[in-house]
Amino acid sequence: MQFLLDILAKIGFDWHMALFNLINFLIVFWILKRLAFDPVMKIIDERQQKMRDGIDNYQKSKTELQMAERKAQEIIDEAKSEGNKLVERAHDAAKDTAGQMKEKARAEISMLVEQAKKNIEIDRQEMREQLRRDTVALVAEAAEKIIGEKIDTQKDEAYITSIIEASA
Amino acid sequence: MFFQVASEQASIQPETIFLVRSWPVTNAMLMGLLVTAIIFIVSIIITYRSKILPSKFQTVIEIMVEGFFHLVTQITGSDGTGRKLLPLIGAIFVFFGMSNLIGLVPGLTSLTFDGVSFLRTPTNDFNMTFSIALSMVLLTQIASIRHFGVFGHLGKYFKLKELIAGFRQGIGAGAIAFIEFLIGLLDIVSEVAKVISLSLRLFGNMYAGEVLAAILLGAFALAIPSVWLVMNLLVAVIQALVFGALTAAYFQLAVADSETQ
Repeated sequence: MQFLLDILAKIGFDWHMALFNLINFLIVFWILKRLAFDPVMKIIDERQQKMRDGIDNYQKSKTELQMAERKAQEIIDEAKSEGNKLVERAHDAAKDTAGQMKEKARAEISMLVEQAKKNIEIDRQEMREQLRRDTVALVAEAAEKIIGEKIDTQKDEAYITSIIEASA
Repeated sequence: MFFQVASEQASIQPETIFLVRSWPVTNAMLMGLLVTAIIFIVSIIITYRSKILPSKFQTVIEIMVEGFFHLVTQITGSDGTGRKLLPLIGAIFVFFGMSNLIGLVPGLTSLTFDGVSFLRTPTNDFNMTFSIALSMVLLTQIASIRHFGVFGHLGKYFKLKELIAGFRQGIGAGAIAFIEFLIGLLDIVSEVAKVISLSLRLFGNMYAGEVLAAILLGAFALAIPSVWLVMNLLVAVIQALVFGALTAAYFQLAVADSETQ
């Protein structure tokens, strides 16, 4: 042991200095641990945790987006199918309505035609009556001019009417 | 001669500048204190400037710390052990790295007090390398005792159990166990050798560097010393790294099971 200490002494070993250097190193170790390595590692860990959280959130959002897209597609498909049904139903309803309206129009037209026919018949009857009356008056007037005297109006009319009716 | 500069070769022992009671205060100790002060100031800057969004300075520091963390993790083979050892191995690297490099700052070692150089490269003092190497090897022993227990730890050096079990099996197995027993005893020597090799490697490299620089400066004042000083920059960093990496490896070996060694 003494031999070893002698060798150490030859290369400058002194326990005072060695102890001082060791204490100095321990102080440096404490400073670096408390003020450098621990805070830096903490910051690095925090940042890595944030990055991991960010990636997790991204994956979560991606999954949620995919689900939302799927759901939206489902809703769109459902809406499309519902729309098609509605259009079909509207078509049917329109067809029904058109049929009903056509039927109604046809009925109305028939009614109008019937009415027109009736009116025409009435007009025809009236015109015939008017014609008869005019003819009687004309014949009476002609006969009066031929005969030269006024005959009884009522008797003439009855006589002429019977002739016309007989000739008709 | 025009190309030669007379320069004094550094003595192997650091020079005492003054005494505090009976304690000598050497130029290497003063430089060690200067290194500590610089590390303290830089550490405070690191602490107060650390943010989630890093500045350029913080990025450089983080790259260094992460690089060290990966190095220690690779040596120890475990993330948890790497994290535990990082401050210690990092402190060794930073302290020795700065101690090695600070001597290369022009003019710093030329300051004199009472005719003696006021500051000296701290790692040129064997006391520093030896005290830290010894404390590191002792720490590995403590780590081993904590891991295996006192008897388990002693069992690594005195393999009596294996010796008895070997001879019970037969002469052949007994002979192999005897050889292993002797190897176990040699491991005690290797632990001492660790202290010597760790301390002398760093001290020898740095002291030799300074002596060679002085010799080169005396022979060729202009080109060659500057090349040598540039190479010393590399040596300073590498030696600090070697000291830290070996300490981490010793820790790993101390707590590793014998099967995995």
